[in-house]
Amino acid sequence: MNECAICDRLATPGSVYCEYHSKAYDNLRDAFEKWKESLEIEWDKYLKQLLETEGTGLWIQEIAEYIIQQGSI
Amino acid sequence: MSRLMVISEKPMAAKKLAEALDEQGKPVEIKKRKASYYECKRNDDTLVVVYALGHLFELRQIEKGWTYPRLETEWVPKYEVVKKAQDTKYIINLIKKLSKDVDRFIVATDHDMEGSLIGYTTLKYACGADPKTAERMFFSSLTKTDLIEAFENRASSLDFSMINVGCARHQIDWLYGINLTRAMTLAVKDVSGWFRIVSTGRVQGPTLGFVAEREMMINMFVPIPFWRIEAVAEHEGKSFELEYSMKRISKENHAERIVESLEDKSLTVDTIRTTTTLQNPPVPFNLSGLQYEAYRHFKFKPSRTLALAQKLYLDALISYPRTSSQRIPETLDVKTIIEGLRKNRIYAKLSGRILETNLVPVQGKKDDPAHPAIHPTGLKPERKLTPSEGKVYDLIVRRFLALFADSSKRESIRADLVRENHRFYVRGLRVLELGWMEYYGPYATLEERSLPSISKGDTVDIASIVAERRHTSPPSRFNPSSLLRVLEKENLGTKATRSTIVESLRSRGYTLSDRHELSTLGYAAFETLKCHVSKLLSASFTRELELEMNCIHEGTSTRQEVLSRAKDGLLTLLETFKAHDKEIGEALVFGLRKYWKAKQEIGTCPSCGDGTLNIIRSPKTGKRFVGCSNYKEGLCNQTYPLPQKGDISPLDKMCPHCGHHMIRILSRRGVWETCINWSLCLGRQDDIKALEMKRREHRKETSTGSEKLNE
Repeated sequence: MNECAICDRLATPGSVYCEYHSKAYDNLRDAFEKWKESLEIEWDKYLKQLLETEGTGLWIQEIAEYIIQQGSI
Repeated sequence: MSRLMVISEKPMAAKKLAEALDEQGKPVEIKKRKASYYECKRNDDTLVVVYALGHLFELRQIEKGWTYPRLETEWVPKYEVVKKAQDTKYIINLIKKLSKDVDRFIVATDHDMEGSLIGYTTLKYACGADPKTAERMFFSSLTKTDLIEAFENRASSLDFSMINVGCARHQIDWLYGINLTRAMTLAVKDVSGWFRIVSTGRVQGPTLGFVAEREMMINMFVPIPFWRIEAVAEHEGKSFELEYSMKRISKENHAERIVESLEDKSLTVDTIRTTTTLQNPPVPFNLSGLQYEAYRHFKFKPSRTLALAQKLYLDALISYPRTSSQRIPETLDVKTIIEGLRKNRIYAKLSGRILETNLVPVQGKKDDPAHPAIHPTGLKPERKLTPSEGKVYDLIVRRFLALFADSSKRESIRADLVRENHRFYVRGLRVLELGWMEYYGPYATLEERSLPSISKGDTVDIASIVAERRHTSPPSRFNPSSLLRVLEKENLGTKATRSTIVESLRSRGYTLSDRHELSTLGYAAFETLKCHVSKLLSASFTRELELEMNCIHEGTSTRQEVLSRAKDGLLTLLETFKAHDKEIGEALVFGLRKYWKAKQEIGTCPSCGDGTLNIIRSPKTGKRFVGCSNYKEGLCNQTYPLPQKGDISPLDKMCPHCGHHMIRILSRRGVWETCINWSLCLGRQDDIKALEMKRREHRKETSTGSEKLNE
């Protein structure tokens, strides 16, 4: 098994993330639907705004940063 | 004429007992080496009052070896198990000697599980007496009246069901704590060769689980935007805030439409409604209620509140604090207590007014058959209380007085202001009758808000209106008080042990601060247990054990049966541990490495730009300082001095004055942040001057104080 793309835990089968970052990624996707309803926002702008928003969880920030760096979903 | 031995739990309790039971009120204290006892006369009998120091006997494994499983235990003198408890040796020897010349034994320890067990083990192992022949005094305060009554009406036998539960709990906690901690510690040792205690236990596991789950919720939290309408109205030259009827608007364009349709418009006062509500006095304090309130008002940790309450109890100022009861029994002479409080200048006026009522207290739901709710005894303090003791005492007295007062009467007023389909509120609140709030004093706070002078049909202009973007917030971290409440709600641990368990998470390095932020070690322990022995994190598993122990009290199971089932359960867990000890060890070592790194690593060295600054302890002097990792190679000798007291945590930020790394110091005086360059940093010179000034003043005060004492 590989290491998680973000931390040094093991990645879950079929994912680049560990158990926690996978769950964080699911949360990030689910919340995007709510943000879209509220703001009509694009995915990359959403990620950037999350990084600036107070209260964004540490693992969510790490995932957002990683996705921005990778330049893809 | 008989010679009776009275066994108390602590030296101060022994003194109070002796003073109360001696007919002249002047017992003789006889000192023998580093221990003492009291002799007094009562009803032609001689009473020998001895004391324990909490537990004088502790459990020890029978089979030797620092390994696991170790399931068979024996009671041995505490000084044989705990090196620091050498004082108990003199006390045990004294009790042993005195008990040879005694006709009867009376146990006068606290009436709870621990107290009953202390009395039992002292009788059995120090006195060598048959516990079945001993008598028992039950009391809830150390006042003379209560103690004499408890002595005259003492029970002819000990409370064996309570002793059995106490004994089972002690043994089960020992078995789980010792064996599981050893399993984790040895797993680390086998993998890394380090000997570092990594602990867990029957209640500590689920407590760690609660903290870890909360931490994960915070780490995975995604804030969701919403909008709030912030509006200010103007009427007759006065402005006031308006509250829009929809507290949260989930869509930005909806919020904007509301603002657009109301900008520069006016509202009409549609209705003004007034409602009067009565609020009953708060219920009597049990231990967790007192701990919660002391944290709320004074930020005292639950363990500190318990220690302070225990001191007040030993001074006979309050009743026994380790109680679950929220009830004041009818048999309690509340009139005498309040009359006693009346003699205290601070409470004289309030007590006098309460004495004019029919003295019926408000009662809570929870009951404890052994002790009433925490209440003052009415006695005046014989010594000057410390500021912290004074605070807890005042809280207890005022709460007690408030129980007898009337409900407080409040008036809430809400004005509805409308325009088309939009509605705003303006709220006012005032207290019509203070009732109990007057007695509870500074602990009952209510912010009064007056309503602007508007009447139905008035027109009010909107001076400003904006849609402010907000975001939902993550759940808050536990604090010592809220974590204690969770344990109580989940029925984990006992009222006496919960605060210690909450503290143990921090002392073991599983959490980083009083806000219970999980450390990397905490994560590692949680993940390891979750992966291999998830039962240990489960509240229901521990609760089942608690229920089993209650069966002893109810008489549906024996101590041996419960103990045997607990051992079976533990063996199964330990087998799982053994089967996975390599993975467990690796995971814990991984967590420990990260934890130590986070605790010691400050950041890149600004001097060489290549090495890492670490907190180092000098092997010669034992003092700590910051040094560069390139020192050993002779490449960099950069060092920084560090404060020698307190817990240091590196921070992920730089000093705004000098650009050096910042650290946080947590000491007994509180938390403060500084940079590692504090001795030279220009921005910190004022702090250093203030500190020096403070020290000079302190020195001056101390010398003046000692001069006065000498005079």
